[in-house]
Amino acid sequence: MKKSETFLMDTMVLINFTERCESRDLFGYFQKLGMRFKIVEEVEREFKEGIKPIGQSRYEKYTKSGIIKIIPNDKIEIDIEKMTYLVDKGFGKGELFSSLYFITQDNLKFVSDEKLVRDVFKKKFKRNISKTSDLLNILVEKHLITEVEKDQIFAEMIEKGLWIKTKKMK
Amino acid sequence: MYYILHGDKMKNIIGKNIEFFRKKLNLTKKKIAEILDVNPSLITYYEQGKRVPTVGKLNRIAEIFEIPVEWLLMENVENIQFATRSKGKVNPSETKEILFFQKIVMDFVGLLSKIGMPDYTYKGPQYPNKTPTDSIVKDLKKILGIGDIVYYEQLKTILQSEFNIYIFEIPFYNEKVSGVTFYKGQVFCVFINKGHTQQRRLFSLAHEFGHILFHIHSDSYLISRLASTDIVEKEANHFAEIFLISETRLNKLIDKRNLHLFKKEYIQALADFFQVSAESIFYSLAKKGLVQYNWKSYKPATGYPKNYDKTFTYKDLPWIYVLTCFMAFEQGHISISKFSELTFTDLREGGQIIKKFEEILERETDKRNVESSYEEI
Repeated sequence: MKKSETFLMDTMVLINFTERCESRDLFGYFQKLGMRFKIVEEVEREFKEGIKPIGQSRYEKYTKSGIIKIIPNDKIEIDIEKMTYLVDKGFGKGELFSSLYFITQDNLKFVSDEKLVRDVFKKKFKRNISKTSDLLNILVEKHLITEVEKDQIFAEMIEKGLWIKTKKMK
Repeated sequence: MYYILHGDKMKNIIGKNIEFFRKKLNLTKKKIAEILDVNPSLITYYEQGKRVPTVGKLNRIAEIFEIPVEWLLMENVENIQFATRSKGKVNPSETKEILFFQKIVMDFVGLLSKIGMPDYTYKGPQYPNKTPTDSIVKDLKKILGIGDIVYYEQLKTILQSEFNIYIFEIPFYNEKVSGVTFYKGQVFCVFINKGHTQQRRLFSLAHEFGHILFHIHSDSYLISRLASTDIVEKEANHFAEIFLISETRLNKLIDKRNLHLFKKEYIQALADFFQVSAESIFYSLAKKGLVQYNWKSYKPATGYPKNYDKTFTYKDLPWIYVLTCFMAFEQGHISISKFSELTFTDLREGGQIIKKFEEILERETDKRNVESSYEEI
């Protein structure tokens, strides 16, 4: 990973890293690695609805220090065709605006835990989308946390509301 | 420059739609410009297709109109045009509320179809070109298994389970509006004002049911206000009266020899018995010539309920709506974020609702020997 690499986060991922891991300040680790994050204004709005105190204080800390940068909605270009396509695919507003921004940025990585978002980008735009576990894996690779700690963090996130599932039929 | 041009057609779609909704909602370009903190000429440029708004501006305009941002991108705005038409005048505030309801209806009907929900369309009878009669009411009550006395929760449940009428009981912004019925893609959605008393809601529901039976036969909507004198409204009122106030039972209860007994208290007692308002009983008695046909002189009008709590939660939505949204998520048609938008929850609460549904689903699938497992994302 290059030091200057920047990640665009969707709302669920932002919630995971600010609120759903109280035992560790994960953005503090990312800061040590020189990682930077962007969110669009709409994601900020979604994030602030029902925000918890720990999320609030960490968010303020890292937006102030510049690790998390907010992209105003007015900086996002309209592409009616793509916008209509993504709306039809069932994207919520935060993902929609994030996606429209991401589409115009070649050197940005998008992190979303929405399977729908990842599938659409893979099929339609031939771009891979990262997820919460990918960011945790970076911390393992850089020896900031161990594999065991990663599992503990992940378990804590699940306990505090992160959840995803797939079904396997017999 | 923060926009990509896709030819005149694309630019014109947004412009035409902005102009369409702005005029329907009786807003001036100046007013929108003030809210957006831009020069009014920019709104003109948008409407003329000379400029395309940024995502932020488009979103703000949609927020001003209180419509989903995607409606400003729709090529065929006629698809939602019916929401701004009606017999009788609809004021801008009512139009806004109807647009809000219509968004719910469009999303709901779209998702019902997407998830392949079986038998979700209207299953009840309709009587075009007929007027409400006692025999129609008798037949309907027989089909629905309803007796002389009709209870609100009972009627709500039966109309949904027997006829697939989807009832949304939420507090309306417009206090005078008691109900709105939409017909879209063979689906009837009835919105009842939760801010009104239960007696009023029962009457409103029966009234809207009357519209379904006698008045709405193509994609459209009808708005019902308190004390409306429109002929269609009067007919729906008549249906509600004969549906809720059983003629036979009423005759048994009233003693025509003691006309002086028709005091406020007696009428109220009859109203309580039939679960309707005293006003409804009064008019039934007036039709029989038992009281003077003047409610106001009998009892001053109490007006409509005011200042009720206008906030609502997903719990006000019919369970079938929330379940449909969940199924759409489960089948990969929408994201959690979209689920939250559709159920008026924040992302955290939306996630919790999905989790609860998942737990129920898991218990059910366990029963059918289907193995579920969580996989790391």
